[in-house]
Amino acid sequence: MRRNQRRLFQKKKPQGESGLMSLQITSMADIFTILLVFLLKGISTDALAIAPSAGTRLPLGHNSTTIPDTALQVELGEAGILIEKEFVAGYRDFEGALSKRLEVERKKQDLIASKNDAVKNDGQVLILSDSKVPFSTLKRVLKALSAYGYSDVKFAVVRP
Amino acid sequence: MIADPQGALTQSSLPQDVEVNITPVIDCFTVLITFLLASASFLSIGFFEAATPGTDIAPGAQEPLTELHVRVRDGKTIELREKGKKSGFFTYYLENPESVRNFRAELSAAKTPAVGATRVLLSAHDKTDFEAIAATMGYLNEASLPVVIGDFGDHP
Repeated sequence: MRRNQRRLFQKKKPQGESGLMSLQITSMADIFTILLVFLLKGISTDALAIAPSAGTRLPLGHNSTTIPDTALQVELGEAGILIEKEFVAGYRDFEGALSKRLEVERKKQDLIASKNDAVKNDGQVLILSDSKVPFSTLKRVLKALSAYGYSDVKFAVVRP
Repeated sequence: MIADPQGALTQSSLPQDVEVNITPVIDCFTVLITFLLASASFLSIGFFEAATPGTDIAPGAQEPLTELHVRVRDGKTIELREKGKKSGFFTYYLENPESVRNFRAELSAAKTPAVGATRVLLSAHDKTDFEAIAATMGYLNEASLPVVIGDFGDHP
């Protein structure tokens, strides 16, 4: 059986040649190198690691601008509000928990800015909002952000 | 390799046929590419810039000649109110391409020195979802008008 299979897959060898075949993987190595360079470049150009949570669906946005510099990431996801990917509160009475967390973030940024001249504390905030989040929630979040000096708001959208 | 006293390589010392084994390289590449593809995000993310009320005005900045107030209703309707040098109230429908075209034309016209709008106040009905707001922000961004987003409270 095995001998028959081997015969089936073996190339008919011309008389005088050995039966050994070598697979040409050089072209495969070339393809892999190009893929690897492309993927590594994609990773290195992202200044911010922006990836919404699994349940968050960003809306489509025409005429949007490119990636901003570093900013505080606030996500309005399916279950609640996340700051820097950490869950802060659900959508019911979130103001207290959100304010507490924003105060901590602001103090942290002030401390970093005071120690490092290269870091600016310019109140930039990046909002990753689910497309179904109502404006009533959004305006409460914006009000809380504004109270802690986060007035330069950027909304993340999916580019078509 | 053996070098002769003058430093030149002797022909007899060179191997005749060298073959580099690239199989381990391919193995490494396969693992790396699998890992990178699994962790890569293929979403192209863009941004809309906006400011919150009361924070965007620089000291000494002049009030615009015409104030534009855009309000999104029910996720389908855009209300545009113009106050100042040019006054008016217009309603546009997001689902109607002709209406959207008119909205974009009105925004472009508002930017001209004759009308003198320099920013847009954007608000929405409480139940309006972010999808409709993002669509509206796209048109405002196209007109290159800075957006101030918040609740301006002068609508029924």
